Amino acid sequence: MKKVLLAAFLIGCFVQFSFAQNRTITGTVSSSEDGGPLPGVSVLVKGTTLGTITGIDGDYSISLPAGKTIIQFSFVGMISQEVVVAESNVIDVTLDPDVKALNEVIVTALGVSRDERSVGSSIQSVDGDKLSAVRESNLVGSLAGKVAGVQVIGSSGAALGGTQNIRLRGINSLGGGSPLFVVDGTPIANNSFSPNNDGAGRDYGNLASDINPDDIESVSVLKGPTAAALYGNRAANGVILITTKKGNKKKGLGVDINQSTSFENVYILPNYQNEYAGGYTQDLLTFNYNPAIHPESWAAFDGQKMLNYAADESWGPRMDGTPVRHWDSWLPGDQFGELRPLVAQPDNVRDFFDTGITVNTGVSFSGGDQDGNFRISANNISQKGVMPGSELTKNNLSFNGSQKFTDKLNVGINFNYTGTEGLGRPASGYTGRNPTNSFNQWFQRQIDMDRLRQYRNPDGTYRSWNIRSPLDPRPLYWDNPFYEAYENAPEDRRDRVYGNINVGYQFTPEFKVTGFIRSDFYNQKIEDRIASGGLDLDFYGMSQRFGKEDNYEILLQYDKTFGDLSLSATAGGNIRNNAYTYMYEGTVGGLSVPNFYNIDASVDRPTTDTYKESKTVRSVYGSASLGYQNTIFLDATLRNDWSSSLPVANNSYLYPSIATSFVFTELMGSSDFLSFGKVRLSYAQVGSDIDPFEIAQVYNVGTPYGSYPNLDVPNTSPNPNLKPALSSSYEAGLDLRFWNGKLNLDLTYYRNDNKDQIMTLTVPGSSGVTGAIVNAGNIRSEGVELSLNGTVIEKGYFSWDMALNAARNTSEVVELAAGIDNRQLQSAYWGMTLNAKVGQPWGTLIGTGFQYADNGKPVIDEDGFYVQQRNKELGTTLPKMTGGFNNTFRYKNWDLTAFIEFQAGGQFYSVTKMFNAYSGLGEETAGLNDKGNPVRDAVEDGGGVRVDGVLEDGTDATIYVDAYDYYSSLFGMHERWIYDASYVKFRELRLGYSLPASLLTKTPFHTANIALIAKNLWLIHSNVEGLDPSEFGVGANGYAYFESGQLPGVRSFGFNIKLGL
Amino acid sequence: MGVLVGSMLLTSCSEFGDMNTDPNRPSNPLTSGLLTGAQRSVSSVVGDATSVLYAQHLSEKQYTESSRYQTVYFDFNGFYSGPLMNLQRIIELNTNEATKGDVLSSGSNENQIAVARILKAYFFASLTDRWGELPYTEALQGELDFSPSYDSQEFIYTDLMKELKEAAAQINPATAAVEGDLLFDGNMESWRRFANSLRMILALRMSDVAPQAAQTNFTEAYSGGILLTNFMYPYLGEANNQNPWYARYLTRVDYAISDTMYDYMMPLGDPRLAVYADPAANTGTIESMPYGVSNAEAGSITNAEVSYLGGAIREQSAELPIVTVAQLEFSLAEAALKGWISESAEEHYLKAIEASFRQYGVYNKAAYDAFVAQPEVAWSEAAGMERIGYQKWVALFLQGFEAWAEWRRLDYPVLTPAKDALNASKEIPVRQAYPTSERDINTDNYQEAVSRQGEDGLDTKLWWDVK
Repeated sequence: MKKVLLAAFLIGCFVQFSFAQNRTITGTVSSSEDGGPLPGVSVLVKGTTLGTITGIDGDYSISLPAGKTIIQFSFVGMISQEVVVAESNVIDVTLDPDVKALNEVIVTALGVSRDERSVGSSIQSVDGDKLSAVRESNLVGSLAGKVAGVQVIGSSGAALGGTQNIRLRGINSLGGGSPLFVVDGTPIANNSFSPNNDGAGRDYGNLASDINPDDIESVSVLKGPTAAALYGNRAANGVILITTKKGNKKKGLGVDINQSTSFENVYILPNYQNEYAGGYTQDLLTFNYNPAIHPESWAAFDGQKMLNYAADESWGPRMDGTPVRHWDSWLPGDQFGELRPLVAQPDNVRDFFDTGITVNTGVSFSGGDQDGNFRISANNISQKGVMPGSELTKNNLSFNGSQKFTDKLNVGINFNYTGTEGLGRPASGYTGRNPTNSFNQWFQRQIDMDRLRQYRNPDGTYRSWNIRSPLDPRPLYWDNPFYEAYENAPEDRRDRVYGNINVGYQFTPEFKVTGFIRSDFYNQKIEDRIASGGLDLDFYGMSQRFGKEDNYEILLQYDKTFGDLSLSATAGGNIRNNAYTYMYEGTVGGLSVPNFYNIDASVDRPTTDTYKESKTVRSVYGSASLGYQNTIFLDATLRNDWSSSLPVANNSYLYPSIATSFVFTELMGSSDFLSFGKVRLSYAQVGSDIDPFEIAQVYNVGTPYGSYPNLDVPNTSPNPNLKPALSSSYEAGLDLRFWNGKLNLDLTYYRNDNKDQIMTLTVPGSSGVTGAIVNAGNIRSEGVELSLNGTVIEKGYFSWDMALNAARNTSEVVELAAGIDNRQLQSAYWGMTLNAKVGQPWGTLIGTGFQYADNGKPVIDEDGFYVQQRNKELGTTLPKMTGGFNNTFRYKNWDLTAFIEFQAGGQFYSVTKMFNAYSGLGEETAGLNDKGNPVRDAVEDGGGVRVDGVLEDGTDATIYVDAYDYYSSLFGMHERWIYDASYVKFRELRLGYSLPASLLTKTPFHTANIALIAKNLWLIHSNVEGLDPSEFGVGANGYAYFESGQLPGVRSFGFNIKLGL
Repeated sequence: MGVLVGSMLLTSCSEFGDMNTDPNRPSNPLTSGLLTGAQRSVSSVVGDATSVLYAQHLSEKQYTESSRYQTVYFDFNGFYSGPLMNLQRIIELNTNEATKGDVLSSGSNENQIAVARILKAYFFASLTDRWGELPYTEALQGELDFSPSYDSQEFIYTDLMKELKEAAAQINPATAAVEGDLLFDGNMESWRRFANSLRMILALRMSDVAPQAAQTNFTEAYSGGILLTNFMYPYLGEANNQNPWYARYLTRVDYAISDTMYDYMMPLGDPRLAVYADPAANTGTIESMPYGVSNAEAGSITNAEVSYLGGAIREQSAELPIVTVAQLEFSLAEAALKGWISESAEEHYLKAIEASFRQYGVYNKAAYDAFVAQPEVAWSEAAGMERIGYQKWVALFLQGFEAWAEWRRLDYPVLTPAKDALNASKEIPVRQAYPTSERDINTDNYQEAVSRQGEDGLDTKLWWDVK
């Protein structure tokens, strides 16, 4: 280093002597905040275009022409300084942070860090540590409520790494649409291979959950097409831009350890009735000994009371302590022949679930010097779920490195690996594989869960509560839930790698070229099984998915300031190659060798499916940002894509964006009250393409009959004339900062018109196809976003920071195809449908409802049953408002973070509630009626459900209906089971204590923080009892308009220790 | 120079070779494969359960909503987009000059077209007997018509007569037989006979409303030669092509012999009852399940107390009838009774019962003679329609759609609606309502059809159902 300085000095001297007029000034620029060096500071000789930027150590060297004496130092987020050069040729400068513009640097499209004041579109940024305060392991889940305009459709913690779906600014395409995830410039897949439509199956999580939250430095959410325009056709729904932590010079060794252990328990279940046992009538059955069919030894049982074991409903006898034969008393074992009292088991369902444990351990090493930096991190999450037998292990490794080979040549790498292994991930939805489905919809309330725990008979066969009869112990509808959990546990494994290598060359201080090779690929294997000897045919199936995306990117950047005018321009090109293969094999007709889980065991010809696709998109793009006096900025972008999946004639498409920002406080002068003010205006277009293979007629290969192959005409007609869809977006925003940044307000209004949607239109099946791919329609999303944050109190040792995010969005179906005013998007169980209806918000729920008379009462028939109105609009699935409220309190070494998330509006259909009542399991089906008699007693005895309504002849009537018949008649009466999805949820709590430095001096640590963490603390408000409306993320598309057999919500408490070495 | 480079760049940018050619699905159709696909769908007609419940052959054991007529709307879309579209495509590919030469490996053009037309008629007949008016002439046009209008049932029946007549004539046994034919294995003569048999059955269906056309078509078809053996759907002993009743009983016991069926057959000592139902576990004898009672009432009867569908009928590879000799003989008996053919009604009636006994493997001369000698069974010219109605109903066991249609037409047997019916009228359905998708996305045509035909519910009588 000395040599270098000497050389610089000598050269400086030489230059000085040679040209006499010029001087070389050197020095270091540092920050007044932490005294650390500031790289990237712009150093300019005032009144010239001569300039440079500081290096990694904050050092610079600049040639000062004769007659010039002032050097300007400027850096985003810092107050610029001008220094008059005196005698010394070494000028060290310390820059102060610009309090008027806190957090001014944000990461924008293509990973370019920019001064926030110059950005004319809506980007909201969240720090990584805010996201991982309670160590939420899925990035998407941690975004809920933390960014205005983000809606997260979560899934229960019981699903163990289940899918969390995200929507930005409501719905921008008929199919919903999800934002693009980008990690350090590398687009990564966020598919979910959870069950699609009916939500029945197992959820293996969304792929973006592979990101290790501890590696995240910050997340920038590019909300609309303007911000995201440079990302092209996949950015119509916004971009989640993730910047990972890089190595830097740090105090200490640069080793961080982050460990947490938390315990999960089921916290929400429906309220059950605890008065009546399983069965269909209140009379106990009697065992009648019949020597013709019963063993002789059973003679003694004659006359004993028993239950209707084959029933999977609870309309049975009162649990009044009468000794009866329970299901297991007919099965071999010590309990055979036992008479036990018939008593309530109020906690039987809760007893099924275990206490889950999550151990999350991460360690990172980082360091750097003037020429390079690196960071290596490793993380392990080991989880045991609340569902018995369920386990999940996740391992992350990441490496970030950057090295300067010369002053101009920089090479960097970002590498991430995630390995996930799951065992027994629980099924959700309406399926026999889901024990929760049984507990809440088809069950007997008197079942003692502990008696089911032993799910095998002494001879090894399985046993269930749902036996057909004393003589026939085969289950009728339901296997033992413990058999289900332990014997039918699926196994899954996913290996994921993503990252990039890049080479940058700084030709001049203004001009830089960077090349990137990016890749993201995963291999996911899922093995499913049904053990031999249960209710269903034994089965083994295995699927393997491989997805890969490669991007080759070149980026040219040019930054220059001409007097009052600044120019920042980029030009780039990208080639994106996507490849995907899928392979599935499943046994048919059972397993030839019991419990031999292999395709070779298939009794009949196994089901097979192989699929592959590839796609290429080539793009060129450019952007220019002009600034005048650091006050007015104008941004423009232009991008052209060529997509392989579109017809050749239409496969090229161009789209622009333009944005301006105006810092009006620069003109009017800032005051103590309003320290900073900016307005933003922007307009953008984004084109979207389609999936491969949608433009030519092909034939489906169906199930063969013997040796006859089977082909079918596909149900969707192709369209050889498709063109790209185009969404246009307008956005206006206002940024205000008060009292020197103590309070910041950001308001945004936007409107997106998503035209020429490429959609599979549902057409009358009588045309011979049920779907047609067309370009048509317009979905308009319109909304307002508010983000308000600041420091409420800062006094002595105490401070209180808060951040409030709220967004209101409407997504209206303005137009569908010609002559079509409704499109059914999906159909839930038993005829409830989700629709896009012209003139209505996207997501209209249509189903069967009540018919109301003019006086507002329901119309009933003479027996008291509701008259049904079919095809009735019953609500809309999209919430009116979403948001979150975060508060952080600090006192001395203590910190407390409390985060509340909320949603207002949106409706959903609950199949759980419907059958919970139908089957007589729910609290509402028991108890007393308004006459004070048991509601389940016969109507002639004063029982029955009171129904007030209007008869079809118009007269008012009050009729008592038998409780069983009443709740049966509500099956398929969707309106009764539609609930409001509003909620307020105390989602995260962290109470931390940082050990004082005095205590640490004798330890190797320089920082240490211990904390209590809690997730899903309290569902403060909800309009539906027994379910968590924030966790309806069933199905890969996350429409979240219904639930069935929702896994119970999970609450977790734990400890977190963070250490810095 | 720059322009040149630029334009070269642009040209190459939009070239992707065959990347967008689907490697997962063939683009060249094998018409024999399309035929196999269409024929596999015959199983969803002959294996249907709801219609068997309407006919009260079986009762539901626990969840009795279907036998209490809860479902109003039934989906026909799958028939159009499935087998009918396959058949339409076979006809197009064998007709179009550009493609007809490419598909000859699956049979001669004329035979392929004829078989496709016959099967199309079979499916459409089954559909119109469920819903009545249907998209027909304008259906199956793909993207050329996404809002097909409805044709009246009268029009459809008239056209089905024509189609079956022409298709039977189009068959040319001298040319290559069809491939991919799991039903007749390329026997073109059987296809011709099936066309005639079907035309005969359908002609009889419209006998109350268009007697002249019915008679003409019936006699023409009959003289053309009809099936001489039972035409069965051949299920295989493997899960992908198994008997649907086998699948229904794999884990559950949802269907038991109905009291309606039992109460008619048992007193007559009908030997078929022992094939139709298995003994109840508790008693070792055949015990019936009350039809159409509430779930609570059904649930209070334990599973060991009733008789389920006979084991032989629900074997994995047990065949299910498409058209039976018994069915045709009953049709001939009726035609004779009407004077359409100068043959003995009684003879055909007795042959029909005999054919049914043989079909279920219970034919024994003495037992048969004793059975048909009983006054309730023995032929009576005066009560001819009633005799035919009851015995045909018994013979059409599990041929749900046919049994339900013939009950509607003949009004025999006299069936009592489900005791705890859930539909508004509490009557046995006489049709099924259109899928709600028609109301929502083919609205104008749907409404036009409903305004012609009557309310889109379960109680609107079809064109041929006048009594």
